[in-house]
Amino acid sequence: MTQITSTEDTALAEIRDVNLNYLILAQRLLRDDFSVGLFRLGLTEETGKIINQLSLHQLVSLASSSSLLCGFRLNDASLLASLSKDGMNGALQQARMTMALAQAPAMQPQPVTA
Amino acid sequence: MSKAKTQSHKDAKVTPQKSVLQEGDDIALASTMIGLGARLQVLENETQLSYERLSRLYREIHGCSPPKGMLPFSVDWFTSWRNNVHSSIFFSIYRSMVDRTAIRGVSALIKAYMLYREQDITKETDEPVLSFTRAWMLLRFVNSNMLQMTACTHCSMEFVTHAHILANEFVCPICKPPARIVGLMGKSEEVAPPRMRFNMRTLGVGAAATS
Repeated sequence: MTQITSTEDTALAEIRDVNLNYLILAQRLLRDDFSVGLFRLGLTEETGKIINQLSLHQLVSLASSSSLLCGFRLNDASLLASLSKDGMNGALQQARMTMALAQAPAMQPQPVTA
Repeated sequence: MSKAKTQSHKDAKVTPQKSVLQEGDDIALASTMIGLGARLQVLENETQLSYERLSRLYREIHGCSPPKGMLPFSVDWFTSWRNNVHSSIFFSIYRSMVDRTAIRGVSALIKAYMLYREQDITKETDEPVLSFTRAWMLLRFVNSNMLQMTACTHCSMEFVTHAHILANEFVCPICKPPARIVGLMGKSEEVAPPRMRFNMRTLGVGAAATS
Protein backbone atom coordinates (compact mmCIF):
# COMPACT_ATOMS: atom_id res chain seq x y z
CA MET A 1 0.00 0.00 0.00
CA THR A 2 2.65 2.44 1.04
CA GLN A 3 4.69 1.35 -1.96
CA ILE A 4 1.91 2.26 -4.37
CA THR A 5 1.56 5.75 -2.93
CA SER A 6 5.28 6.29 -3.07
CA THR A 7 5.49 5.25 -6.76
CA GLU A 8 2.52 7.51 -7.45
CA ASP A 9 4.30 10.31 -5.68
CA THR A 10 7.44 9.88 -7.72
CA ALA A 11 5.37 9.68 -10.90
CA LEU A 12 3.63 12.91 -9.97
CA ALA A 13 6.88 14.58 -9.16
CA GLU A 14 8.29 13.44 -12.48
CA ILE A 15 5.28 14.79 -14.35
CA ARG A 16 5.76 18.17 -12.68
CA ASP A 17 9.42 18.03 -13.52
CA VAL A 18 8.69 17.35 -17.16
CA ASN A 19 6.07 20.09 -17.23
CA LEU A 20 8.41 22.66 -15.80
CA ASN A 21 11.26 21.59 -18.05
CA TYR A 22 8.97 21.68 -21.05
CA LEU A 23 7.71 25.17 -20.31
CA ILE A 24 11.18 26.53 -19.64
CA LEU A 25 12.52 24.94 -22.80
CA ALA A 26 9.54 26.22 -24.78
CA GLN A 27 10.11 29.75 -23.55
CA ARG A 28 13.80 29.57 -24.32
CA LEU A 29 13.19 28.30 -27.85
CA LEU A 30 10.53 30.92 -28.53
CA ARG A 31 12.63 33.77 -27.19
CA ASP A 32 15.65 32.58 -29.11
CA ASP A 33 13.84 32.58 -32.43
CA PHE A 34 10.07 32.74 -32.35
CA SER A 35 9.30 31.11 -35.69
CA VAL A 36 11.91 28.34 -35.39
CA GLY A 37 10.64 27.74 -31.84
CA LEU A 38 7.09 27.36 -33.08
CA PHE A 39 8.31 24.86 -35.65
CA ARG A 40 10.22 22.80 -33.13
CA LEU A 41 7.44 22.80 -30.58
CA GLY A 42 4.66 22.33 -33.11
CA LEU A 43 2.59 25.10 -31.60
CA THR A 44 0.38 27.65 -33.23
CA GLU A 45 1.44 31.28 -33.16
CA GLU A 46 -1.31 32.11 -30.67
CA THR A 47 -0.23 29.49 -28.14
CA GLY A 48 3.40 30.40 -28.67
CA LYS A 49 2.73 34.02 -27.80
CA ILE A 50 0.92 33.07 -24.60
CA ILE A 51 3.69 30.73 -23.46
CA ASN A 52 6.25 33.38 -24.29
CA GLN A 53 4.57 35.88 -22.00
CA LEU A 54 4.20 33.62 -18.97
CA SER A 55 5.92 34.90 -15.86
CA LEU A 56 8.07 32.58 -13.79
CA HIS A 57 5.34 32.37 -11.17
CA GLN A 58 2.72 31.44 -13.78
CA LEU A 59 5.14 28.92 -15.25
CA VAL A 60 5.60 27.16 -11.92
CA SER A 61 1.91 27.07 -11.09
CA LEU A 62 1.08 25.79 -14.57
CA ALA A 63 3.73 23.10 -14.24
CA SER A 64 2.36 21.86 -10.92
CA SER A 65 -0.57 20.16 -12.66
CA SER A 66 -0.89 16.43 -12.11
CA SER A 67 -1.05 15.60 -15.80
CA LEU A 68 1.38 16.29 -18.59
CA LEU A 69 1.13 19.62 -20.36
CA CYS A 70 2.88 18.56 -23.55
CA GLY A 71 1.14 16.08 -25.81
CA PHE A 72 2.38 13.45 -28.22
CA ARG A 73 2.59 14.97 -31.63
CA LEU A 74 2.30 11.89 -33.83
CA ASN A 75 -1.28 10.92 -33.16
CA ASP A 76 -1.76 9.19 -36.48
CA ALA A 77 -1.48 5.49 -35.63
CA SER A 78 -0.73 4.24 -39.15
CA LEU A 79 1.94 6.86 -39.64
CA LEU A 80 3.52 6.01 -36.32
CA ALA A 81 3.51 2.32 -37.21
CA SER A 82 5.24 2.98 -40.50
CA LEU A 83 7.80 5.18 -38.77
CA SER A 84 8.76 2.54 -36.26
CA LYS A 85 9.14 -0.06 -38.99
CA ASP A 86 12.62 -1.59 -39.21
CA GLY A 87 14.75 -1.71 -42.27
CA MET A 88 15.85 1.89 -42.45
CA ASN A 89 19.06 3.38 -41.20
CA GLY A 90 19.00 5.91 -38.38
CA ALA A 91 19.43 9.05 -40.43
CA LEU A 92 16.69 8.14 -42.85
CA GLN A 93 14.40 7.26 -39.98
CA GLN A 94 15.11 10.64 -38.40
CA ALA A 95 14.49 12.40 -41.69
CA ARG A 96 11.16 10.70 -42.01
CA MET A 97 10.25 11.68 -38.48
CA THR A 98 11.07 15.31 -39.23
CA MET A 99 8.85 15.20 -42.28
CA ALA A 100 6.03 13.61 -40.32
CA LEU A 101 6.31 16.25 -37.61
CA ALA A 102 6.53 19.08 -40.10
CA GLN A 103 3.54 17.83 -42.02
CA ALA A 104 1.39 17.14 -38.97
CA PRO A 105 -0.99 19.98 -38.19
CA ALA A 106 0.08 22.34 -35.41
CA MET A 107 -1.41 21.70 -32.00
CA GLN A 108 -4.53 23.83 -31.85
CA PRO A 109 -5.31 25.72 -28.67
CA GLN A 110 -8.39 24.23 -27.03
CA PRO A 111 -11.41 26.50 -26.74
CA VAL A 112 -11.56 28.07 -23.30
CA THR A 113 -14.59 27.03 -21.27
CA ALA A 114 -14.66 28.82 -17.94
CA MET B 1 19.03 62.32 -43.85
CA SER B 2 22.31 64.00 -44.76
CA LYS B 3 24.08 60.69 -44.27
CA ALA B 4 21.70 59.01 -46.67
CA LYS B 5 22.35 61.78 -49.16
CA THR B 6 26.11 61.44 -49.09
CA GLN B 7 25.80 57.67 -49.31
CA SER B 8 23.52 57.86 -52.30
CA HIS B 9 25.81 60.44 -53.85
CA LYS B 10 28.79 58.18 -53.31
CA ASP B 11 27.08 55.17 -54.80
CA ALA B 12 25.22 57.17 -57.37
CA LYS B 13 26.97 55.47 -60.24
CA VAL B 14 26.08 51.94 -59.17
CA THR B 15 22.72 52.26 -57.49
CA PRO B 16 20.98 55.58 -57.29
CA GLN B 17 18.67 56.59 -54.36
CA LYS B 18 19.22 53.68 -52.02
CA SER B 19 18.63 53.80 -48.29
CA VAL B 20 21.60 53.06 -46.05
CA LEU B 21 19.45 51.08 -43.67
CA GLN B 22 18.16 48.94 -46.51
CA GLU B 23 21.71 48.38 -47.66
CA GLY B 24 22.78 47.35 -44.18
CA ASP B 25 19.96 44.82 -43.99
CA ASP B 26 20.81 43.55 -47.44
CA ILE B 27 24.46 43.06 -46.54
CA ALA B 28 23.50 41.12 -43.41
CA LEU B 29 21.07 39.02 -45.42
CA ALA B 30 23.57 38.44 -48.19
CA SER B 31 26.34 37.37 -45.82
CA THR B 32 24.01 34.89 -44.10
CA MET B 33 23.13 33.42 -47.47
CA ILE B 34 26.75 33.34 -48.62
CA GLY B 35 27.61 31.53 -45.42
CA LEU B 36 24.98 28.91 -46.30
CA GLY B 37 26.55 28.52 -49.74
CA ALA B 38 24.27 30.63 -51.92
CA ARG B 39 25.35 31.48 -55.47
CA LEU B 40 25.57 35.10 -56.53
CA GLN B 41 22.53 34.86 -58.80
CA VAL B 42 20.41 34.00 -55.76
CA LEU B 43 21.79 36.98 -53.85
CA GLU B 44 21.18 39.29 -56.80
CA ASN B 45 17.56 38.21 -56.85
CA GLU B 46 16.97 38.49 -53.14
CA THR B 47 18.83 41.72 -52.33
CA GLN B 48 19.21 45.15 -53.88
CA LEU B 49 23.00 44.96 -53.84
CA SER B 50 25.01 45.24 -57.03
CA TYR B 51 26.92 42.32 -58.48
CA GLU B 52 30.24 43.99 -57.66
CA ARG B 53 29.42 44.46 -53.99
CA LEU B 54 28.07 40.93 -53.68
CA SER B 55 31.14 39.55 -55.34
CA ARG B 56 33.36 41.46 -52.92
CA LEU B 57 31.30 40.22 -49.98
CA TYR B 58 31.63 36.67 -51.28
CA ARG B 59 35.42 36.97 -51.48
CA GLU B 60 35.61 38.40 -47.97
CA ILE B 61 33.61 35.50 -46.56
CA HIS B 62 34.92 32.55 -48.52
CA GLY B 63 38.32 33.92 -49.49
CA CYS B 64 37.85 32.95 -53.13
CA SER B 65 36.01 34.18 -56.17
CA PRO B 66 32.35 33.21 -56.50
CA PRO B 67 31.62 30.35 -58.92
CA LYS B 68 30.54 31.49 -62.34
CA GLY B 69 28.14 29.98 -64.82
CA MET B 70 24.48 29.20 -64.91
CA LEU B 71 22.41 28.05 -61.98
CA PRO B 72 21.43 24.38 -61.86
CA PHE B 73 18.10 24.58 -63.61
CA SER B 74 17.06 20.93 -63.89
CA VAL B 75 13.62 20.10 -62.55
CA ASP B 76 14.32 16.39 -62.84
CA TRP B 77 17.16 16.64 -60.32
CA PHE B 78 14.56 16.87 -57.55
CA THR B 79 12.96 13.58 -58.51
CA SER B 80 15.87 11.17 -58.26
CA TRP B 81 15.76 9.07 -55.10
CA ARG B 82 18.23 10.67 -52.71
CA ASN B 83 17.64 14.18 -53.95
CA ASN B 84 13.92 13.70 -53.61
CA VAL B 85 14.13 12.59 -49.99
CA HIS B 86 16.28 15.61 -49.17
CA SER B 87 14.13 18.09 -51.07
CA SER B 88 10.99 16.71 -49.49
CA ILE B 89 12.43 17.13 -46.00
CA PHE B 90 13.42 20.69 -46.75
CA PHE B 91 10.14 21.57 -48.36
CA SER B 92 8.09 20.08 -45.53
CA ILE B 93 10.01 22.23 -43.07
CA TYR B 94 9.67 25.32 -45.24
CA ARG B 95 5.96 24.88 -45.74
CA SER B 96 5.32 24.28 -42.08
CA MET B 97 7.26 27.44 -41.22
CA VAL B 98 5.18 29.46 -43.66
CA ASP B 99 1.92 27.87 -42.52
CA ARG B 100 2.55 28.31 -38.82
CA THR B 101 4.42 31.55 -38.51
CA ALA B 102 4.37 35.04 -39.89
CA ILE B 103 7.76 34.80 -41.59
CA ARG B 104 7.76 34.73 -45.35
CA GLY B 105 10.01 34.87 -48.35
CA VAL B 106 13.75 34.68 -48.07
CA SER B 107 13.88 34.66 -44.25
CA ALA B 108 11.58 31.62 -44.21
CA LEU B 109 13.89 30.00 -46.75
CA ILE B 110 16.97 30.69 -44.61
CA LYS B 111 15.40 29.38 -41.41
CA ALA B 112 13.99 26.30 -43.09
CA TYR B 113 17.34 25.61 -44.72
CA MET B 114 19.14 25.88 -41.37
CA LEU B 115 16.63 23.43 -39.87
CA TYR B 116 17.20 21.07 -42.79
CA ARG B 117 20.95 21.22 -42.21
CA GLU B 118 20.42 20.02 -38.63
CA GLN B 119 19.21 16.67 -39.89
CA ASP B 120 21.62 13.76 -39.50
CA ILE B 121 20.91 12.73 -43.07
CA THR B 122 22.68 15.88 -44.30
CA LYS B 123 25.80 14.93 -42.38
CA GLU B 124 26.29 11.67 -44.27
CA THR B 125 28.04 13.51 -47.08
CA ASP B 126 30.62 16.29 -46.93
CA GLU B 127 28.34 18.69 -48.76
CA PRO B 128 24.60 18.58 -48.01
CA VAL B 129 22.74 16.94 -50.90
CA LEU B 130 20.41 19.90 -51.24
CA SER B 131 22.47 23.06 -51.56
CA PHE B 132 21.06 26.44 -50.58
CA THR B 133 20.88 27.39 -54.24
CA ARG B 134 18.97 24.20 -55.05
CA ALA B 135 16.59 24.88 -52.17
CA TRP B 136 15.97 28.33 -53.58
CA MET B 137 15.38 26.85 -57.03
CA LEU B 138 12.98 24.33 -55.53
CA LEU B 139 10.81 27.13 -54.15
CA ARG B 140 10.82 28.82 -57.52
CA PHE B 141 9.84 25.61 -59.28
CA VAL B 142 7.00 25.08 -56.85
CA ASN B 143 5.85 28.68 -57.27
CA SER B 144 5.84 28.31 -61.02
CA ASN B 145 3.85 25.05 -60.77
CA MET B 146 6.54 22.81 -62.16
CA LEU B 147 6.90 20.82 -58.94
CA GLN B 148 4.37 20.12 -56.23
CA MET B 149 3.89 18.13 -53.03
CA THR B 150 1.96 14.90 -53.49
CA ALA B 151 0.75 12.61 -50.69
CA CYS B 152 1.90 9.00 -50.80
CA THR B 153 -0.98 6.57 -51.14
CA HIS B 154 0.67 4.23 -48.59
CA CYS B 155 2.02 6.38 -45.78
CA SER B 156 0.15 9.63 -46.58
CA MET B 157 3.30 11.70 -46.18
CA GLU B 158 3.85 14.32 -48.85
CA PHE B 159 6.83 14.37 -51.21
CA VAL B 160 8.12 16.65 -53.92
CA THR B 161 6.96 15.45 -57.34
CA HIS B 162 6.48 16.77 -60.83
CA ALA B 163 3.30 18.75 -61.19
CA HIS B 164 0.32 16.92 -62.68
CA ILE B 165 1.37 13.40 -61.79
CA LEU B 166 -1.34 10.83 -61.07
CA ALA B 167 -1.87 11.52 -57.39
CA ASN B 168 -4.00 8.43 -56.72
CA GLU B 169 -1.20 6.15 -57.89
CA PHE B 170 1.71 7.91 -56.22
CA VAL B 171 3.88 5.84 -53.87
CA CYS B 172 6.65 7.75 -52.14
CA PRO B 173 10.37 6.94 -52.54
CA ILE B 174 10.60 5.70 -48.94
CA CYS B 175 7.66 3.28 -49.19
CA LYS B 176 8.85 2.02 -52.55
CA PRO B 177 12.55 2.67 -52.97
CA PRO B 178 14.24 1.59 -56.20
CA ALA B 179 15.80 -1.88 -56.01
CA ARG B 180 19.37 -0.59 -55.89
CA ILE B 181 18.56 1.38 -52.71
CA VAL B 182 16.68 -1.36 -50.84
CA GLY B 183 19.83 -3.25 -49.94
CA LEU B 184 21.58 -0.10 -48.76
CA MET B 185 18.76 1.17 -46.58
CA GLY B 186 18.69 -1.52 -43.95
CA LYS B 187 22.32 -2.43 -44.04
CA SER B 188 24.24 0.80 -44.24
CA GLU B 189 24.78 0.74 -40.49
CA GLU B 190 25.75 -2.89 -40.23
CA VAL B 191 27.98 -2.93 -43.30
CA ALA B 192 31.45 -3.81 -42.14
CA PRO B 193 34.24 -1.35 -42.89
CA PRO B 194 36.30 -2.33 -45.96
CA ARG B 195 39.14 -3.80 -43.92
CA MET B 196 36.77 -6.10 -42.04
CA ARG B 197 35.18 -7.23 -45.25
CA PHE B 198 38.60 -8.03 -46.61
CA ASN B 199 39.34 -10.13 -43.54
CA MET B 200 36.08 -11.98 -43.90
CA ARG B 201 36.87 -12.77 -47.50
CA THR B 202 40.29 -14.08 -46.65
CA LEU B 203 38.67 -16.21 -43.95
CA GLY B 204 36.23 -17.54 -46.53
CA VAL B 205 39.11 -18.33 -48.87
CA GLY B 206 40.95 -20.07 -46.07
CA ALA B 207 37.87 -22.15 -45.22
CA ALA B 208 37.45 -23.12 -48.86
CA ALA B 209 41.09 -24.15 -49.05
CA THR B 210 40.86 -26.38 -45.96
CA SER B 211 37.64 -28.11 -47.07
